[in-house]
Amino acid sequence: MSLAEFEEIKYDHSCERLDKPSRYLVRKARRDPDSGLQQLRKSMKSCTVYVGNLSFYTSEEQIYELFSKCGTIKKIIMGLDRFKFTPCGFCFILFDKMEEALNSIKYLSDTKLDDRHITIDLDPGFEEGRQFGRGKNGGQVSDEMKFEFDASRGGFYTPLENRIGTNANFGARRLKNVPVQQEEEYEDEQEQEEEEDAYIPGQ
Amino acid sequence: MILADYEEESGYREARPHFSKRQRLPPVVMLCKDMMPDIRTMGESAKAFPEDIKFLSEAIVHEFGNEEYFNNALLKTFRAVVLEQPHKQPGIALLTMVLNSAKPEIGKSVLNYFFDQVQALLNSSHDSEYETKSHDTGPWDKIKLILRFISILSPMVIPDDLIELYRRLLQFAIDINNSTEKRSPLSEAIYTNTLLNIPYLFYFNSDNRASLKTLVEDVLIFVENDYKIKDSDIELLKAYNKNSPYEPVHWVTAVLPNVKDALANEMQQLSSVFLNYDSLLTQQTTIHSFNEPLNLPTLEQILPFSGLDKGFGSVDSLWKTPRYSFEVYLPNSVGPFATVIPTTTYTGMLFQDILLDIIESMEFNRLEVARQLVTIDLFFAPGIFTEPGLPVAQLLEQFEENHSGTTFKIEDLAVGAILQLTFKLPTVSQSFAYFYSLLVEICKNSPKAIAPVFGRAFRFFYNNLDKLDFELKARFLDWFSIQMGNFNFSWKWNEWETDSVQWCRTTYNPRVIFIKNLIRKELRLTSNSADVEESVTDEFQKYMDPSFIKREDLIHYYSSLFKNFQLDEDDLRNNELYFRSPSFPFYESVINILDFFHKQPDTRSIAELENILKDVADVHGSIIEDFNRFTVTLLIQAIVFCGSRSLSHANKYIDDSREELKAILAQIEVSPEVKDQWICEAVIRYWNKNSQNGYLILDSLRYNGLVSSGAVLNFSLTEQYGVNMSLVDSTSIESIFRILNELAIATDKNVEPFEYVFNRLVGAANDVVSQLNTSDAIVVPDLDQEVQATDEELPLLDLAWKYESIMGFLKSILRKYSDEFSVLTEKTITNVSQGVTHEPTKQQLNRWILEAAEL
Repeated sequence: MSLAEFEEIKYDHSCERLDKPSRYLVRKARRDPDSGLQQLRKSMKSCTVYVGNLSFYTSEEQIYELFSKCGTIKKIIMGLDRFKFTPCGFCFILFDKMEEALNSIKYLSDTKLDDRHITIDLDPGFEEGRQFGRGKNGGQVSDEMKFEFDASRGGFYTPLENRIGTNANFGARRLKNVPVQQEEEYEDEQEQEEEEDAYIPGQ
Repeated sequence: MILADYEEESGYREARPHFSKRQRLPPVVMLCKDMMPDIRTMGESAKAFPEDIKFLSEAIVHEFGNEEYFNNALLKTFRAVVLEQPHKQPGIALLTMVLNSAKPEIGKSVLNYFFDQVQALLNSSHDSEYETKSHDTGPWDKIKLILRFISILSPMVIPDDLIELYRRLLQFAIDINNSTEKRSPLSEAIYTNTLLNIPYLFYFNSDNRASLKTLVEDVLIFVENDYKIKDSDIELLKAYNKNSPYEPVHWVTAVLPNVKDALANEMQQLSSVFLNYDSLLTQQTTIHSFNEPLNLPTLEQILPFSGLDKGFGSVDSLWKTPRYSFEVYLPNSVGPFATVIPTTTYTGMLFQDILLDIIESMEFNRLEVARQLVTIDLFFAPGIFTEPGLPVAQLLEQFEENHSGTTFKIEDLAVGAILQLTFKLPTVSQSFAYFYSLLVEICKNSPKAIAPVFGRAFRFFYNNLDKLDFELKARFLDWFSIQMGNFNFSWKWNEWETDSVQWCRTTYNPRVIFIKNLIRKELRLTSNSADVEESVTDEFQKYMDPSFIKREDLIHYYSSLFKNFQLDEDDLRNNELYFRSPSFPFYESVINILDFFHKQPDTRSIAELENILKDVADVHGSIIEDFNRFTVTLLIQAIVFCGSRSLSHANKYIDDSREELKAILAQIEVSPEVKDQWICEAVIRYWNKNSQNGYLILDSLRYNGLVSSGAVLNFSLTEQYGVNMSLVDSTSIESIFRILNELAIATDKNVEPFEYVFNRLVGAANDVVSQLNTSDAIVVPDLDQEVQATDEELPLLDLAWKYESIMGFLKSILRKYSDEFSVLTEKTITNVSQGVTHEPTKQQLNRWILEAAEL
């Protein structure tokens, strides 16, 4: 499948645009040959954005206070722990217009909310069920893969015995090498691998 | 295992050559991918610049003309830099001319390409199908930028051809200007844009200079004689309601003298502004002319578009209303000198123009904008600005030692330019989030250098709050709170203590209102209120309580629902439904009501609810003052309580029970206005500690048809316990603007609510005037002049501030909704002449109403 329209090198601007699909989205689209391109096109035209790296304690009202500076907010859908029904650090924001959604990506990504740098990404549109964390413990996967203490995102996420294992494999260094199972549909994991995302003319 | 660990930590993998899984790019694409970024960043390093020119030109000479892909990429890159980063134009022009020396056809191609661009832009300027994007600055602004670029290319263009462009554009501006008695925005734009470019003809010293000089002199004489500048004093658009702290410079009036000054004295000013690239310029052996003359639109074609009010791009739209300078860093505020280059000089005006273009045309990448703005000095002659980040204290010291050194700060200029756009009246060109986050970004890059610059701006606006336009006060509040939210809420609160001590007993003092609203907004931006609490000094702890009305008034509100019943004040708690506290006589019935709302909508019937209410009426009716009012209050607060966990919970409960509530409300036999009033009260009193939530829930009730927009406006505009919340509480003010904005963009437009708000405010002004009992103009002392007031004088002073607030609000809505008010002109004038007896108020309002009709 060709994602040419998203990968073409363009010379229209003198610097990069901040409202392009993230590398995560492009890779996700590439892995899905049936509807990947449609999903990507849909994200560019949708009124919905995904907001990540929120503190668990950030309320809808705080999100409203900040994001309403970009446009009219129709709805905020908080991401919830699917077992506890408590906020687990992400949300979807539905704006009134597509431009407002793009504006929020251009203007607010990586600004601070509740003392955390929030991430904002395009989104093809909200569907029921996506408001729940997909980690094994109900929250976001990214929290299950972190090792450092993060007070505003539930401290240490995994219980100690889960982190070091029960079969006497002591030491965090070893654990680093245990392959972490990565599932395709995880919303929140950031892709690490570098890859040339470039358009080849005429192909 | 250990080895694997070692590998990861040493970064060994990164050092290994990276083989892409996919096919490698064709050589020409690879070349462009590497070369174009170099062109975009040319000049950012002064040291590398000569080499850049050398290597780039060699490569381009070699490659140009071989592949269409390369030619396109190069020309498009040139175009992007010329339009988005105008400070880099001289570099691009130099590169073009070096190419022209080596291979004249490249020079010709570049020139033709840009000339065609101008023609295309001219054609689009009167295209009713024109599609604009947020980074589009508008056809006329882009024509300005390309004309500037072509002007810098003067050593390789025939002088007569160049001057002909100027002559034609200026004649066009004159013709448009003469076609109307009124001010013509487009003609002002073309006139100013074109004149501002003239000095660029002399950027490089070449053989053409002498002939250009004579030709330019002729053009200036012709334009001075033929262009009539029209008066444009519109009070509605002024940033300050009275005693403006500075005299704004009218761009159209200032541009010609500025340009003439710049060209006078052998162009001395220019050599101290423009970076001298003459040594890098190669001999231009081939001089080009344009292939064909410029085809300007006819007057018939352009006049329908000459108002620049069709939203054809951000910078062009700035011209819709007369352009005046907006200043924040005033001369003599730090020491006996200016830190920003005055707009009354060519240099000052040019910097304003360039900064504005950068901010507007690259809005899609605020990080890059932030970087370019504070390093723009690299692209101009050294010595214009002080060293970057120099603290004002040191600047003052330097100045005292040496009066001849420069005092202009690049940071002041950059921040001032962003603020100019943030505080632009009547509308802003981008959404506020852009400007606020751009300011945050600039500060993030070099907090030490920028934070004090912001501090000076904060102080400036704060000191002038009593004069600042009503709407601008709200923008200032937003900016300040977002800035604080990004920087741990740290502010030198002790600076404002004396104001708080002196004026905390008043209701309408502009500074106290600001402080209160600022703290409330900060509290709304954080989930940890301790962050805010710890940031303020003891004096301000009293503002940490964000109550909408005072506690005694809240008690009074709940008491008024009952008779022969004493409520327990301790049961009135934050975010809690009073009626379900165990001491309340029929709290069990209330819990049944809550249970009812918690049920799935399809498993409940309205009869259950009616039975509960009937039981309550039968058994406890005797302690209830007005059962209708109580029913409305109870049901609404019950819904609000059910949804109190978050806004989406509230929305869900309101959505689920909409029909039931409507049915029960319909049974209550009182006028809809009264019912609506009860609903608004019930919601806002429940959320007394967080009125923003209250207002957002009222929005949801409005969308669900449970309360009218008019009712919410009425609620905000009605005095509550002696305070007009629409003048003091930012959540109230924002709600009013939110409702009016919605109505203004609605398809079935109804102007009644606008008239309603206007009349209510006029009524409030009348009340204040009658309390002040005067027929003279109401004069309030300037707050920065050490005002003192005795206890007897204080209430009068407070009333005077109230009057100013009301008038400020009126000015803002007349301006903001001028389209709506322009159809109401006659009606509002009649209302004012009949309803207002206070002559100065009447005159003021009449003037604004007439101005609004012209906007």
